[in-house]
Amino acid sequence: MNLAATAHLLFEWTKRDFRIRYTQTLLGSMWALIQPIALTAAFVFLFRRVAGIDVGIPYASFVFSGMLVWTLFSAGVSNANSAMLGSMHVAAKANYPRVVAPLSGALLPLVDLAAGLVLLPILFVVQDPPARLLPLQFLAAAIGTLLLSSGLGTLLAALTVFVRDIRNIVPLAMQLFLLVTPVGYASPRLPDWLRHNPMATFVEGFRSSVLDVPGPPLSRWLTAFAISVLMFVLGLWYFHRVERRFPDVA
Amino acid sequence: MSREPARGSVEFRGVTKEYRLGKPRAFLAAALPWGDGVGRGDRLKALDDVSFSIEPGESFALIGSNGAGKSTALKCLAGVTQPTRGEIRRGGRVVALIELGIGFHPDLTGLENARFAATIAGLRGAAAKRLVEQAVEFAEIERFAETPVKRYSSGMYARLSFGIAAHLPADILIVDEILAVGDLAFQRKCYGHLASMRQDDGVTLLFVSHNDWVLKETCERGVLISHGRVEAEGPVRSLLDTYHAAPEPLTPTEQTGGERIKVGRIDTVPAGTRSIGLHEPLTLECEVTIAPGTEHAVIGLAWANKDRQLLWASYSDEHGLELAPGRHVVRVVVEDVNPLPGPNLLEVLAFDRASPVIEQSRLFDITVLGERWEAGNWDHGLIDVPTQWSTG
Repeated sequence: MNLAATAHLLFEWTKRDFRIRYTQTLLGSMWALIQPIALTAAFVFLFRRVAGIDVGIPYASFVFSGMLVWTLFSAGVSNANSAMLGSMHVAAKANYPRVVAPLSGALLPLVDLAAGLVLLPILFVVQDPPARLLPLQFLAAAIGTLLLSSGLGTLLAALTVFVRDIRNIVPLAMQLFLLVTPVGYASPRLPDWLRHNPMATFVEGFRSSVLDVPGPPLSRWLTAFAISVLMFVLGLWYFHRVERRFPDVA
Repeated sequence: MSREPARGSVEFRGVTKEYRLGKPRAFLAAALPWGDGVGRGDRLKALDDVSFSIEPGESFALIGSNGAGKSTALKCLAGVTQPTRGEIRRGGRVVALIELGIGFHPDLTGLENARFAATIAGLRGAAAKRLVEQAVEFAEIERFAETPVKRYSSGMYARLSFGIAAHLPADILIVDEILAVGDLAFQRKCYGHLASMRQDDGVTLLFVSHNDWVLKETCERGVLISHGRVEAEGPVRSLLDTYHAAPEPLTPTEQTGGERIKVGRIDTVPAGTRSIGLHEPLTLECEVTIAPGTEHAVIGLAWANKDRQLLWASYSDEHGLELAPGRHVVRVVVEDVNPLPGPNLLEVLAFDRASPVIEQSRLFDITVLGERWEAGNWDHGLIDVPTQWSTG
């Protein structure tokens, strides 16, 4: 299959996943918004009301802008992770670029991001935080996140076929990962080494592209992109190496 | 120095496929990005140095009993799994009708599933659209095209999947026992379609079937595979004769579920007969010991053909034989042995009607002797019934 046909398959696969996800649901694609809203509400209650964190700007806007890019990452990784086992009934019988399954899993949360971006200006109008728009930085954060989530997701998807424990580890790891990512607080509160977590950079980079808050310095951008590109290459390489064994194991 | 193989040709060169026998954590070897993915330990050769070649436009049969390695060979050919050693050269696109309805999502409509199948096959735009139209028309499901496939009858489901697979652009088409589905009229339509694909487009067909009639009707040449090895290669008729003459040994096996009824020696009368002529009577005797307290002991005889399809079964109590606790020699006379000539598998089983447990089950084989009907190659079904034909 050539590149154009693969890209077409990837697009169709994602479209199909989206369609399947919302069949026989009452709220349909509204669900794309419910998760970031619910998590934001929980954070507002936990960090603002209970712990009394002050970030200097309206807190819900601060959290929600970070939550959007976090959801892009975490939903992408968990979708991708389950995508390979979920499509094994096709993969064990037909021959096609199998990597489209995890990749489309990682791309699907872009729909949720788009929905969130409709809501964000409404929240800004209500809360009136110091808003701005740095389009390049905005794109850099989104693309870096996608590289990281699709690379990690593809790696985990291939591993899960062999070692099913991963399925149980990923949701737990994502929850812990969220706690050390500055979604509900600003990164100066983190120990130095945790700030090299690439998602810390992308969350803060994304937030500071829509809000007037300090963003990550260039050095952190470079580290984050280096890790993401490396993860992307590693994920695709590993998948490519072992995918032919899927039908023998699954 | 490897030239491109001719369009529609297939060549297996020393293909071996090994699996590791199920050890705990055997999957870890497969997860490593280096090595052959099989790992150390006992290996099972599903295919052992298999070589054969198929000419473009040929209709080729893969013959062998269950577990002989046919499906593994097909999976390797389709590129779904890779041989451990050896090489497969294929000229052009391989499409496998290995399993019907692969990739169908129950919540999506017939039309959406057909479109998606086209996409998986790498089709876009007009080609994909044409495939979907042809598939839906061939499957005769136009009225239900917008209905989710989970609401389809199994026949509609099978028809749609055949319709899709049979219209994908292919140079080599694998047909694996799929036509056992759908009604007779649709099966005929499928065979007609396959024949026209071969005649009009020069598509190479590779058939796997347990149905002799299908193989004789559709294929000229083939290979006989046994225990992962190529046993013979040549014209389908002679392969089928070899296959039926030297069947897989049907080793008598014993299975004990309970303790209340014991089946001892089983034999024919006269003793030691392992073959019987068509339409002759067959007498069997077996020693049975029934424990006290067994309310309603029953001995059954089940007759299956080589493919383990049950032809008939008979139970002692339904024929008026009451078995009290104690020791008996039970005798059963099969008055007219009518399965088609060839090896057959018999099972003697013992149970108590009052309990769901099969106390004992014993398998053994008997060959039915007689002429195999050859004329015209039409399907003769499973048994032979004496018939009279005349004009009036």
